[in-house]
Amino acid sequence: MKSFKATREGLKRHNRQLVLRAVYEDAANNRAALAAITGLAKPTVSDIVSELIEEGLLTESGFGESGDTGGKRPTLLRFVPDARQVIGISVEEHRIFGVLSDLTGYVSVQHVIERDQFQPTEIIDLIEATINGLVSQLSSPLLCIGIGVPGILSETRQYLIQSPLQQLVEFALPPYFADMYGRPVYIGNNSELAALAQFSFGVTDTDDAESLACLMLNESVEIGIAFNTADFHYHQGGAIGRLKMGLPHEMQPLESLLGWKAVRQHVLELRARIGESQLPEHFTYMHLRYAARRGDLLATMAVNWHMEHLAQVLAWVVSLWQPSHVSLAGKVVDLGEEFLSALIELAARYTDHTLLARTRFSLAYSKDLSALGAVALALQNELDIL
Amino acid sequence: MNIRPIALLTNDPDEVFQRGVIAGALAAAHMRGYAVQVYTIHDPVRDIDAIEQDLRACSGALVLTNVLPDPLLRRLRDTLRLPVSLVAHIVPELDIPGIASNNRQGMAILMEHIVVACQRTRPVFICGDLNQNDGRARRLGFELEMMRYDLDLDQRYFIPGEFIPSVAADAMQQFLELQIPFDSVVASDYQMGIAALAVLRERGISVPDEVAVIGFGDGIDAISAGLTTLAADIVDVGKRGMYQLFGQLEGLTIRGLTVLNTHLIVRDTTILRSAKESPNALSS
Repeated sequence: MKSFKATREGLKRHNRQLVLRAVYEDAANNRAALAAITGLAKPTVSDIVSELIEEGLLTESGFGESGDTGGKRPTLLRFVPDARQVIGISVEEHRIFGVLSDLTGYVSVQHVIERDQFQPTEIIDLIEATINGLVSQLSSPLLCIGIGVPGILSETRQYLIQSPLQQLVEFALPPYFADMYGRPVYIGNNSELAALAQFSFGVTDTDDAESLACLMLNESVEIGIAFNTADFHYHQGGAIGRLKMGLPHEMQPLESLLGWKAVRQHVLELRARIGESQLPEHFTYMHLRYAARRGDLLATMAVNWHMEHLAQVLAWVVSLWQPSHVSLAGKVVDLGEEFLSALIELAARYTDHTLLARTRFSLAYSKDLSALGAVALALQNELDIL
Repeated sequence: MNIRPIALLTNDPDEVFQRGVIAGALAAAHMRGYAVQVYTIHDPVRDIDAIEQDLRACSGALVLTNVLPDPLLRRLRDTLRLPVSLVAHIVPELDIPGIASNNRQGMAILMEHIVVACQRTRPVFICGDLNQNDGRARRLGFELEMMRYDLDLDQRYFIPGEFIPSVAADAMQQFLELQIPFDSVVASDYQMGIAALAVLRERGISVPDEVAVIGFGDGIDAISAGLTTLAADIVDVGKRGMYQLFGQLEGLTIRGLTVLNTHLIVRDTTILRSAKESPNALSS
């Protein structure tokens, strides 16, 4: 009997998502049209619509035109974006960043906690403090919470099996916070969520892309992929920083070639060799770009060194997955469009240039991508409207 | 009605920013049934013990900008265990939660307007009070955007304003005396922008043809001055600052900064230029 009940509930949930999604996407705006587009019986549609109106997710908004044969004018239905709110969190190595969003991804408030370095035991408390900051700003009921994390997720997607933030490893965040807030909680890898955000909310121009690979470079090196065809939606991602590159006797993990710590270390080494440079002691990718464009030798060498390694990874990504779109995300985007063009040119040395030519490349400038992706992940799981 | 009032600490309840924040905070408190006691703290703060004594009778405190010295904030948190939220200010070592406009996002929008839409390449930046979070964050944001557009970061183009219009006006006068070429003025707050605008007009400099002017924040006097601004809804800042404090009063542990977005309002002091028109930097 239990499995029968589960099946019925699953079917009901599926039908409800069909109806809600049709109104959300403007595919249908009245009960008859909903029955036609979803293939559900009219009484079933009516029941579901009544339920959704009662929950505040749909509202009736006037009357449409009568059909060709005349008759009663249909009552129009409208999706209510602010009926619920969603919290999206992105846990990164130096900041915990959160957004409070409506059901369409519109962000009303952000919350951030930044640290030079997190204490190993404080991460969970700080995630809670960030969520609390957003909970205090709720203007409608909380639907669910999405959390983006750095590292590699378990198959069950309940905890991390590897992460630069050690406290998160093997800590099951979803049940912990679901219990605390009484709402469903979902987790995903940060780069995977960045890819999902680009598809779901058009943060990058990915309208015609069927597959997207998002290479995210911060302290860590991560890759997220998302496929989005008419009948196939999939996203996955994780850290690739431990993948090694180079000849057998001089192999190095990607993290020590492409992570921000590696870039900083390389600049220190160059400074010892070259000396004079415009770069300040505490610099960012933006300083590197600025100094390189002004002919600073050290900055130019550091950018080229970075580009040389990244081009190889880019060539592998394009050759292995053949995505229609590749975006670079994370702090590295501050190197700018000129860097991206040169990078693509360099990548042609390592792979078939026809593969590169048919791939679109972009920089994902938004620093909020992973948190927005966490919102998309949560919405996808709860309402299946994205 | 909650019996113990919320303290709202300001150093100038009539100043435009603080007035707007206070209005939002009072409206939010009224909705939740809290009484609010507004305290005006005069700078420099002399009697910390007396302030602490007053605050003992309060359920929490909303502190505007940097009106309280850090040691007193520490005492409120550690000794009184009083829930506190800071408005437009942060003290990283104390970890007291706060609320502010999104200075980085705002400065990015503002500079995109000045550089891309208005084709200006030599902006003068009027700094705010660098002891305040907003002052520091807006200057940093300006510098990063200058680097993004590969524009010269010449220190002569950074002039003091301290968020005080008369200071900004004097600095603008002095800058003009130097006869350094410039084509725009970016003010860390709109009131300093209005003050700079008056100086430029007084000198017969045509705004926006010769020099474009833009300021961070927005208010009724920016509308009458026709100043292009990067608007932060300061009433909303006050309201949401109060929400953050309510959250703490209800038992939520909050740390970090709640950030509100800003938006561009184009008025008379900036003019869009096509890329073909070459900007003529002004040397007065």
